[in-house]
Amino acid sequence: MKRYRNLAVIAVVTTISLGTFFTKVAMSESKLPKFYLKTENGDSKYAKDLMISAGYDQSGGSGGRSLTITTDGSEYKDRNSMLSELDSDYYDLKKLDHLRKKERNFMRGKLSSSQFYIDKDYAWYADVKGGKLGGTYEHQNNHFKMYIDGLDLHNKDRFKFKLDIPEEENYSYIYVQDVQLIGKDLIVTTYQNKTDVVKDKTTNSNINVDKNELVMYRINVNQKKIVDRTVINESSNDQNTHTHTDIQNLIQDSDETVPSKFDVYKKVKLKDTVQTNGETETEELSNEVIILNLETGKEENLNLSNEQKEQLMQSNVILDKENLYFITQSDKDLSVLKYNLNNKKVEGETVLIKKVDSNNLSNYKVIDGKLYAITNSTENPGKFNKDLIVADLANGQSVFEGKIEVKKSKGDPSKALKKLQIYDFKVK
Amino acid sequence: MNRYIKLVNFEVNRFFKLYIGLLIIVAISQFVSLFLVKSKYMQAANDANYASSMKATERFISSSGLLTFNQVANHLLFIGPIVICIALMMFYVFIIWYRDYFGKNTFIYRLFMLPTSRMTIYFSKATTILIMVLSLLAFQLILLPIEINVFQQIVPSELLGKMSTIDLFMNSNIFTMILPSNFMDFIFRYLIGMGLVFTLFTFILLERSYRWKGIIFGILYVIAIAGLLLIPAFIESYLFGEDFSFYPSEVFYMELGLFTIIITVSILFSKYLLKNKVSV
Repeated sequence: MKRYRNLAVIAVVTTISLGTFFTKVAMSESKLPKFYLKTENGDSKYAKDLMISAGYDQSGGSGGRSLTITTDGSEYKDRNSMLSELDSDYYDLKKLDHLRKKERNFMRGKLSSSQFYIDKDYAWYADVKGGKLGGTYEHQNNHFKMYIDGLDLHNKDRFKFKLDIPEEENYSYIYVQDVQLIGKDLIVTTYQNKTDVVKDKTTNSNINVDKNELVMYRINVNQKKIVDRTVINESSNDQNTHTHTDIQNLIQDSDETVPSKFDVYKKVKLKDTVQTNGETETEELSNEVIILNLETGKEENLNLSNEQKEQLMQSNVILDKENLYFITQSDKDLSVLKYNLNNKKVEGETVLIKKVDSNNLSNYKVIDGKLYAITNSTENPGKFNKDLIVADLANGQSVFEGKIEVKKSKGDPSKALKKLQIYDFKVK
Repeated sequence: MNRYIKLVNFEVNRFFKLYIGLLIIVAISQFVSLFLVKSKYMQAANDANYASSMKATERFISSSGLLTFNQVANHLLFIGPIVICIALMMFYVFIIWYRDYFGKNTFIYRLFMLPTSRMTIYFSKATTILIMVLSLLAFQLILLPIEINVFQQIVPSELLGKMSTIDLFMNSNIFTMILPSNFMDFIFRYLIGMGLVFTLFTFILLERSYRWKGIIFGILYVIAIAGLLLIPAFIESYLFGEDFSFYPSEVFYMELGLFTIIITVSILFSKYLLKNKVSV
């Protein structure tokens, strides 16, 4: 037996060492605290589909572990595993995950939920692809093409075609922002980037000037062709006054796949000032909310009183399906004004929502007429609560109040909460 | 079975001296890197006069950060020996065959005369490679807690960012590449590695069978294997049109199937070569 000594030692040591390692990994995973969202007040149905993404920092040097927290519990992401990523639910909307299970072939390669349009009869998807094989783009000639894919949800007919994009050779980047079906026409709105080379008069050198355009394509589905292309708006850049206007998407946290006949965006005028330390500071001079009616193709004005217009200037504008919400923060509360796009008017009175624990509600969203807000109060020493409130924007009443709590932890629960950081949340 | 274990033992013993040498180099080099990282950091700390007051310590930590073992794990003298081990094991895939041909008194002659299937020799060589690779990993796993312990002893506690072996494997560094902390990932990665070993064995046996012509056959074989693995990507971009794409799980199962095919074909092809073509 003596001659097998080396082999035996190596085999035994290797098995024990690797075995210990994987056991330790499994143990350290099970030691991680489990969190959940506890309902303190109100109806838990509002929080049922809520997914909170967070980070848990175990110890100083090891970096955080990311996790998702729901009312049922929490789940840590295994960041080193390629296998755990396979076939996971990767859409941010539950209904797209369902559709993927039901229509596996149609959903191939369709990743972005904002590029979907889904009503009770059809699902449509538009994508623009181009550029070089490695995913790099030139200033020009990227050979962009638009890929349209539709599915009749009843008889499973597919409508798949490819379109040449007029003037695509001038753009350095094109991406699809929204897809809508209006009658028999598919309306695809894209955000397109153009880089113009301009000669600087003073230094006589070439400088690149970026220009963004918001473009609307009207596509006739039966003829499979683009029947109209309109540049809705474009950014501009004034070198002399150092001001530029940007086209900004409105924040929208509700389901973007549902039918809507409006495209709403913001035009913001900005001014760059170079500080004495060489850094550039950008300041917002003015902003304007623009509503485009996709049926008529015309811009619509906001039907507001002068006082409301004044309020709009200082508020955060959030789009929630057919409604616009103007949210203004004051020291004590949030005031919310609702504007209905269909009826073209302000509906109801300004609603006031009290802040929880006088924390700054930086992390809030409007989803289906409800305001969701998370307070992340780490500034308050000795108190590390993570509260969530849901308020109905129709009357300002809070319909849900909850708190993230530790379900199971080996150590002190408040210590575990202290190491928890909330990043974001969404309603699936 | 008995013969197979005997042969594995024999191969392991032949490698043993070199193996021990490797272990010593890894240990020395990694301990040196540990002290180098520490002294470089402490130099900066002393230059900032961190010990003069609490405030100075805080200021230094906020500008330079705490010293963690992760910084050691990214040092050249720490990674270097690991890379050397990987390279040497790749090289050993060739040595394990050619030393029998070109060593003292052409040993392969005696091996092939053994009253056992030539495939036993083949599998014992493959097993040896796997055992040696895994045991190098195991050695690193034993060494790490010791290194971390020593490191945490020599660094002043107020500047130390504590870290365990497991934390190290959760960070992205060389270890997540050589030893994934997820067991299934580990199995699949080493399965891929064995696929590579069997492919190279086939290449070697082709060369041993047909000499110069064999090298060309071998290269063609390796290209064919690479082509086989690219089939899913090829189907995706050329066969079904530009806007078709596979789900990640589909690609994974296709590649898994292809790897099974590659390993089976390599072994069967080697069997044929060993039985009919390889000359002593």
